[in-house]
Amino acid sequence: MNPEELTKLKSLLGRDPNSTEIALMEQLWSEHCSYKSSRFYLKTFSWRNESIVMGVQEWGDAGAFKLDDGTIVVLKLESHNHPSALDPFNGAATGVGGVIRDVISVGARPVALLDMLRVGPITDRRSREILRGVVKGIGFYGNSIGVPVIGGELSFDSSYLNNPLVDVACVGVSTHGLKSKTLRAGQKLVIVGLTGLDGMGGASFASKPLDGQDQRGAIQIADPFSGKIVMDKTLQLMDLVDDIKDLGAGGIGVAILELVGELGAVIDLSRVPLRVKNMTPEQVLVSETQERMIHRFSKRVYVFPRVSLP
Amino acid sequence: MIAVIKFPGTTCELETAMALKEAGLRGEIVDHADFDPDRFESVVLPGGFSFGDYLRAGAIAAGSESLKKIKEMADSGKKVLGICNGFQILTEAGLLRGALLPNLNGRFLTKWVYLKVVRDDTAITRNLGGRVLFMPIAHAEGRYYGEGDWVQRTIVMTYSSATGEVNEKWNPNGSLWNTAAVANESGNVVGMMPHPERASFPFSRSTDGLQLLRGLGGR
Repeated sequence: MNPEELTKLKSLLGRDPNSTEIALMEQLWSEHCSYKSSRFYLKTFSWRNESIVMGVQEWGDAGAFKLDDGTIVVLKLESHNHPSALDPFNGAATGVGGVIRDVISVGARPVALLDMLRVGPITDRRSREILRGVVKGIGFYGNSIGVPVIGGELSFDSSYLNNPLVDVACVGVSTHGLKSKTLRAGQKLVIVGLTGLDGMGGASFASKPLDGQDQRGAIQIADPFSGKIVMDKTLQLMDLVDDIKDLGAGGIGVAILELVGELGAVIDLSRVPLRVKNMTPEQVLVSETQERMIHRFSKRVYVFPRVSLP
Repeated sequence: MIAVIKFPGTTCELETAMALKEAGLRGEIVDHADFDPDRFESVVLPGGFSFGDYLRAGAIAAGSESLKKIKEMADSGKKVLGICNGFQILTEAGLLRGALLPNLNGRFLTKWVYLKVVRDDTAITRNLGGRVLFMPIAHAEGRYYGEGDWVQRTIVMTYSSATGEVNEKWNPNGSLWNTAAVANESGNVVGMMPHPERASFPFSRSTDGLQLLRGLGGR
């Protein structure tokens, strides 16, 4: 967070922010979450068209358009460049998990993946390692979760030395409409999946230049088996929940703030299911552990489907 | 009705159920914990990564309660088909002999292959003896291996050329004698690494998978 942002935060709160508030706002106002430098360019995209269901102005997690037969196609593309530079396998794999969950978040079933890769010259040893890890990570995650990689593109240039571009796109399909993003007071939120200590401060890490220090703690770890369970159970509950939200960059704090908008929500951090013991509330709030989603619902009865292990 | 068993981590249940429908049969996706064997005439264990393939591919699913029920069904003569991860589960559970080892090149393989039917006394290959079928494989642990005189009698399909030549040149993963599918002695339990459900639709490169799946109908 830069000094001007800190001053702004102080004036909004009317007091000094505490460490938890700083940790949260650092993520929320990062380039990764707020698009503060690219927002200007995004606004120039043309998006008004009769077949567009969710354009750049409206979408939360993905865009959508309609086919002639009424089928809705959902598209999501996201980069995972910084994590992939440091840990090519996990960085790329978690990028896949993120776009898949974003497609589910708008109410569609993910059906295919695409990858667009840019790496340093193939004659460079580190670039080859990065490429190998990235390709393996994308294939591993997509395959394990049952969403195939059906195409992609790749090129090499020395400008990508140590700073590869790893973009992954997911295509989803829905025949029963999309999730309503309309909020009503009194709706409940449930976090699905376990929260751990990986990906601490990942959003702000991804928004700054790589500084050569060991920042592996900021990278999330891919766990497609858990991801598959969360995905299948969420698809199973699709008709029961009002809305779904992916937990991505910035963790619970950012996801809930993005979800509830100006309505606000009470978060009981002591009841978030944890993967490791003794996490501080601040860590629970900003952890970017993958394979988690938030379900928003208003029904009184909400039974989460059982997951049976032998 | 044919049960398509879903374990946590199974990925091919939907297309398998749809392919059964395409074959004129009725399949129902059932969670392994809710599986009631009395409701079904036959069972398919579809592909994927049951329980994340932790420990060994198929090993954890093989120890689940549902496999005991499937074994009882098999013993009573009902048809059981394991595809890819389902094949791995059947060998891990001892319903089929032999083992599936990591591919010889140590890598995940995904490609279309030709299969020659060498045994036509099984649930899925009746009237298909000598035929060459075309469908994809997608696996990292598909190298079939076994020791003893029984091995050759279990083989149902072998990797081959388009014209049915069976030799090392057409062996994608190092399987013993190019084995792609095996069955138990009475032929009602079959395991195969290739995916018939991916060669079952008008938009697929081939619909040869339907010829195999149709065998699951009837008694």
